[in-house]
Amino acid sequence: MLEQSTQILYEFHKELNSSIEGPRELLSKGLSTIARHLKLDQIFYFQWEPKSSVLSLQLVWRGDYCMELEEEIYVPDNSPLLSVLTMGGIHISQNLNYPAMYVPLKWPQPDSFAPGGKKRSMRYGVLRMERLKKSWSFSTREKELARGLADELAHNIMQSELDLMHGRQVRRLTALTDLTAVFASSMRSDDNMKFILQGIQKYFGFDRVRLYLVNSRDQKLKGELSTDIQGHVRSLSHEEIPLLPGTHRFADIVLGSESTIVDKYRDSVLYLPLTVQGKRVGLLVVDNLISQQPIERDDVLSLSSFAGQIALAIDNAMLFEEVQELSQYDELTGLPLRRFFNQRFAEEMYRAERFGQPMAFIWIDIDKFKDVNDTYGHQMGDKVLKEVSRVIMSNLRKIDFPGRYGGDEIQIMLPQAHAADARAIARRLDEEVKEIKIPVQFSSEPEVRVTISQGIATFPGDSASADDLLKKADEALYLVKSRGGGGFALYGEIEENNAQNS
Amino acid sequence: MKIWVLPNSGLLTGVDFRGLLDRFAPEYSPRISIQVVNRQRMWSALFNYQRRPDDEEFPDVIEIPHYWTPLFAGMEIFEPLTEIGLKFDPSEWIGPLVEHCYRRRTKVPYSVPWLMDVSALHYRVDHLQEVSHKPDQLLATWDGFLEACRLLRARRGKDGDYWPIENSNLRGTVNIRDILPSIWNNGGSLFTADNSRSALHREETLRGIESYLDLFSKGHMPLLREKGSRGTMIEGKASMCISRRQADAVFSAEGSETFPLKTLSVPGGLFGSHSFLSSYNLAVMGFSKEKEAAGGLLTRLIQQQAQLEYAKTVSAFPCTMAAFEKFIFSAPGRVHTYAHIVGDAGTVPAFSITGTYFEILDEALDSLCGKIARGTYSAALFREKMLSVSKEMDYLIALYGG
Repeated sequence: MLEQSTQILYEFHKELNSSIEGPRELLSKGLSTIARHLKLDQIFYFQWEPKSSVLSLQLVWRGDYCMELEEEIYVPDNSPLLSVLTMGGIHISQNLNYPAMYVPLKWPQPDSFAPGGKKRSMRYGVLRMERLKKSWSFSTREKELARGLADELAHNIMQSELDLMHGRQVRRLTALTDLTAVFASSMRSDDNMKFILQGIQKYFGFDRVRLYLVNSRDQKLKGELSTDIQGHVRSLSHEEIPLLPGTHRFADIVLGSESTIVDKYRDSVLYLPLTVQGKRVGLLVVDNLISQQPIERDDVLSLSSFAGQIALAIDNAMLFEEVQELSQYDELTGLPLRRFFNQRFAEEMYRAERFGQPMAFIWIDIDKFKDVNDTYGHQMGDKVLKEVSRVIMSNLRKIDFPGRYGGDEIQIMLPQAHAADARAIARRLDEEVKEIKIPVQFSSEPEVRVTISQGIATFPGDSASADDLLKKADEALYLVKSRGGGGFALYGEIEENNAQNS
Repeated sequence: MKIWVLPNSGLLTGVDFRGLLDRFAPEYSPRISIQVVNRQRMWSALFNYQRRPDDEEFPDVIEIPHYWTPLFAGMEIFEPLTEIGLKFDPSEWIGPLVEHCYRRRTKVPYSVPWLMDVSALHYRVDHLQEVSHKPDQLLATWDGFLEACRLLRARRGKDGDYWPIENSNLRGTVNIRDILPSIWNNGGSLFTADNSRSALHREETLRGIESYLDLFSKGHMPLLREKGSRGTMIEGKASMCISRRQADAVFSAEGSETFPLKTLSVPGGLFGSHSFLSSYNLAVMGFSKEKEAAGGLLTRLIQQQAQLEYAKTVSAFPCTMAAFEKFIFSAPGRVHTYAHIVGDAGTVPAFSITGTYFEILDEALDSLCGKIARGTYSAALFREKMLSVSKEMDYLIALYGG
């Protein structure tokens, strides 16, 4: 009899070790094989949840099917089932009206292996083996065999959990390598912040990732971007948190000294303060609130160890944006530089042509600017340029776009504007520039005053292409200049006058 | 082709579903592998699909609770049914379920109703007649229902294993789907009228949940016991049951003695007597390589006769208008019983966060059930827990919208 049991156990061992993938397949195979050897009608596998003192059903085998059904059993402290669960042995159910026995399983928790190979915390489970025929109770030999089979199954569960854990670690490492590439390339993109956040969201699989950046000038934590599992990317620019202790949880975290904080509530929110060279630059908040899944311990560790690189990538992205801004805008006037202006002009012209929308263009020249430089020096020339630019920027619509063409010449494109709209803006600029008064010391004149000449052309009224629009605006400007400067002219009106005169 | 089904008929789910395939989709059946997956694991698995797609083999077709559709359709995990040739005519289905088939803010269907549940009270006429001359009248109100529990315990409670109410929850605990009628009957709801906040903190909602939990804490209904308490009404160890399944099939277990059974609306409160209407929907996974075949299978499974027969097998209800009408006219008395119950039934709003709301609430209820079982439950603890859930939901509604 003993030999028969040993043979069954040996066969069971062989079956479980033959090409089984993952814990579910293992359990499925294990339960059906145990049922066959012990002639069971159905067998249930429960996991022990020590925090809630509940046995939670994971899998049931019955007939040809392994099924994930639901059953939870509260096991009080004084229950004989609890002592069997933790100390070993077999518990015969008293509540069911057919033979049913509980056989415990025990194995070391896979992530509790210390580096030295020492085992720490244990996991517990139990098999409920049932025969629906009332008179067919379990013999002593069957109980012994059941314990042997359960031990073998437990050993294999541990093995498959270890395999799964190793698989996840390999994937996590691959993800981190991929993320490094994302971070490295993030400096070269216009959407660098978005790519960084999407990378973190995708590779770690969080429900949502939010980024807040420290604005040291205003002493505020400002919302930047949020990406989520549904693929939405949202601006958080409306969120501003004063960086003062006690004002907001985020502010406390950024001002504090902790490197990683997992929200104790549900373990599904992780705060990661971002630090570069000892200075807090921002806060990354990741959560699994919509799925309600806890953030895994290994993810917390990976992300924490990666925090420096994330912070550096974000800091680089911010620097890149600053550099880009510097390369796109004129430092003196704050106006976009010619190259940036041309890029935007090409985009707007494409849109105007594609959708048949109007566009106006104003070419401005500051009258007698060379005289100002020669008489009062270049510093005064710079002041004039700054003042004229200020007037221009404060008189444009949101969609209008000015640019410094070079020297004292400034261009303005006015998308969706007709000649009358351009004329109104030009008149306003003409009037307000005339009001500019820059005081001068040590001179016969108490102040410098300037005027501007403006040439206006429109698309498609005056021109059929981008080059043509520029040419016609330049011609209109030339006309104003040839009349002595000051004021503005519309190319269309010059054409009309010429036609009438001829 | 792989299909994941919920445990529609407990231990018999695999066999029952195979029987349905053999009868209504015989050309598909031999190449379909069936996996019975419970709600909790299915929820995690669908999120895991985006996180760790290699962890397991995902199905081609999946059965889900109806209120999950807006979320997972939004995550593009499911395939639009119009893309796989499935005709979806909203007028064919029971009204409140239709909105839950669509992706949020669209009219594109991503799932189709298959089975339906509706909550009702079932009671053993022989037991109740021992304590009341007019059981229907007594059980019309929640107070009367509690009085019936008290009278039944006094009469039958000498048997230590007797409970006035059988726990119909398969897990042996309670979930928010069980409790919703009680919330509505007390004038409460899960969301405020404008759907901008959780209404869980409101007194009427709290009262609805608390009254249901009191059934456990006052010993009227068993909790977290071996095998739940299924079958105790059949064995005479319980007299009533609030269940979302149809009673005829549930209580006609093989080998059991038949007993006179009656079905009524869930005992009402000041705000009427409402039922929770829910369906189990079928969806096709977006990455499936067998979408066309999956579409063909769905068409077979939702046809009227298949719905009628499978609903009967698993004790649920069919959910097309035509099939449901056929069901209620197929036995005497059903029209009277169910027309009224379904007429007063409602469901939850079709929001992306509804599934999450249920998850959070169920976890809170699990925790409270544990405390009831350990004897550490209190009304203060209950309120604290619910207010905390309410705050969390407010936060989620603010983030993701109602």
